[in-house]
Amino acid sequence: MTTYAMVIDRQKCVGCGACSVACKSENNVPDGIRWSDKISETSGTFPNVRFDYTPTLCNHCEDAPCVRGCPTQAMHKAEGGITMHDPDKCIGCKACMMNCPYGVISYNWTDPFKDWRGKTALIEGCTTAPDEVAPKVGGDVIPYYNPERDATLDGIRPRGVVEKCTFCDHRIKVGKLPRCVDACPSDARVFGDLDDPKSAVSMLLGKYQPTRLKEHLGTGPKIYYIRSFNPGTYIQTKGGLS
Amino acid sequence: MSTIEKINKPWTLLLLVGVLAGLYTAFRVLFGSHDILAANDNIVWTLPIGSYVFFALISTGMGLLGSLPKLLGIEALKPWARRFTFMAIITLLGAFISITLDLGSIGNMIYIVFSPNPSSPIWWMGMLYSVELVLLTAKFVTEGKAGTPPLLAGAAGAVGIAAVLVLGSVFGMAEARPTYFGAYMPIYTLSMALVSAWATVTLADAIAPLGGSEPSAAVGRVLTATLILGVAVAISRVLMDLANTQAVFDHAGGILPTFGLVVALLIMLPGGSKASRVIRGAAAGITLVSVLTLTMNIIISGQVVPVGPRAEGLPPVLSYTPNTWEVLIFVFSLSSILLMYHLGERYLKLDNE
Repeated sequence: MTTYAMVIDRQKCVGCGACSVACKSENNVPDGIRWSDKISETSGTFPNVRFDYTPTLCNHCEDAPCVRGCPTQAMHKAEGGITMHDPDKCIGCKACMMNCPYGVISYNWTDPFKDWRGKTALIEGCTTAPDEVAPKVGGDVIPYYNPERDATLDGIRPRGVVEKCTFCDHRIKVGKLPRCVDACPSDARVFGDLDDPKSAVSMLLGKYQPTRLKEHLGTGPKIYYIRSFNPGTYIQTKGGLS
Repeated sequence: MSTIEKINKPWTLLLLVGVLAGLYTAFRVLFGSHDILAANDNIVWTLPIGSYVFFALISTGMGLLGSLPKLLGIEALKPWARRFTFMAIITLLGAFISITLDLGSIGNMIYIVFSPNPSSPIWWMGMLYSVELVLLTAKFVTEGKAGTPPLLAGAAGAVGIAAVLVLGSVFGMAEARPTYFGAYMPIYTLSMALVSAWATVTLADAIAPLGGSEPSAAVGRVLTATLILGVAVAISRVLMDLANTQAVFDHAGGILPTFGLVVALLIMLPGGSKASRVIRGAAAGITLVSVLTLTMNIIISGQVVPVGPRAEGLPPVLSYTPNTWEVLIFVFSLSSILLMYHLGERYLKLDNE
């Protein structure tokens, strides 16, 4: 058995967003949709303030509410515990979005990459129309199209269906790490098999006390967070009474 | 020439305009895109879903009313049983119009049959309402001939109750939406099905007396009884909202539509109100508007606080106002139901002997 999981080390994460950008290009994610996202929080009162940055993606929950609620099994569990989505079965009821406690499923309200589908040239007889660009460079709809995504899922998902992170299952199948893990410049993302006690994720989870988002719901998220980034110092004190 | 006959043509024309506007909206949504609606990745289920739930509730309640004479031997309802069944069928069809226009890929609906997921409340809801539609149609046909077999009436009633309970659990089982709080939602849908169905009967009777029946205080008494149930269920929700300490409940609302139900009940409480067709009609109208508003309020309240990364760059609480296209979807459902009723009234024998 293999159970894929990701550990995100918040002490190492600098919030550069490289994961999100890499994910968008790897998975041909349309404008307005982010499979790899973030929650940023500012707390405290100036000058005693704190900024927290939590990268987010599909949690590939063990007991996924999106899978339970999907009427056609379009949202389903696949090899390695990955929560996958089949656009060909999706009726666009959006129940998965209503059921997901993490806000990581998005809906294609319109044709993806609408701007690249335009048929009007900016200057007639001089510039190309947007829809002429992709075929010229071997793309599909978009010039920067990644054909590798096609291996396990529609390269670009159609209008009227949902989409979300797949842990880059098409890369895992050929022995590569998810693109966001590869792209992280500070190695804040660690990916591997939770069932293998010698895997990097298992060792990190043993060493640090991990947290998961909304753990109390019992969904069993497979994204674990360890440590937190805090460069602050304070004068040693025992406090006092005013 | 009676008033009803005088307004026949303009009324039919008005309904046709509503249906045509709805067909144009359907064309824009199905062949254009869903981004013309006011829904987005935060507020996902909007007026089309509210419209579906509202009409599905009326349909279920009406189906139950149509089964009561056969199942419980309530003779007073017997002359209207066939009419109730007809109304249940057409309101369910109207509800289907709204939900169809909310779905993104209706072509993939075949997978409800070929790739079923029994753990999904939406799957059960789809199956049960489809079965109910078949049973109601069979019941309507048999009621016009030899009489509905009790088994058929029982099956239609049981499937209707199951369908409306599952409709509530579609919301109640949404993990991410605490304001839908689980078991309350099926209680809400079943109660409001009875409230809204009888309010519809009362309103229809106030506008055009059903089957030539004399103004009956019994209609008013039943409306009062269902309103007491509706008010109790609505107030219990407001109290639960107020008592809950989770921040999302601060925006649950629901007080105004609950107030509407209370007003309708207060109108109906004096003895004289029950005998007056006009007062009964007004109370029924207020009831229907309140149930629709309360249902919308519940649906939207679960979505106004963005979830997870969806909150980035947005205010902590979002607001929602339906846009013209969404209103037109509601109008499409409503006009279709009223047009079918109008045609049924003219061309079908709706009353039992």
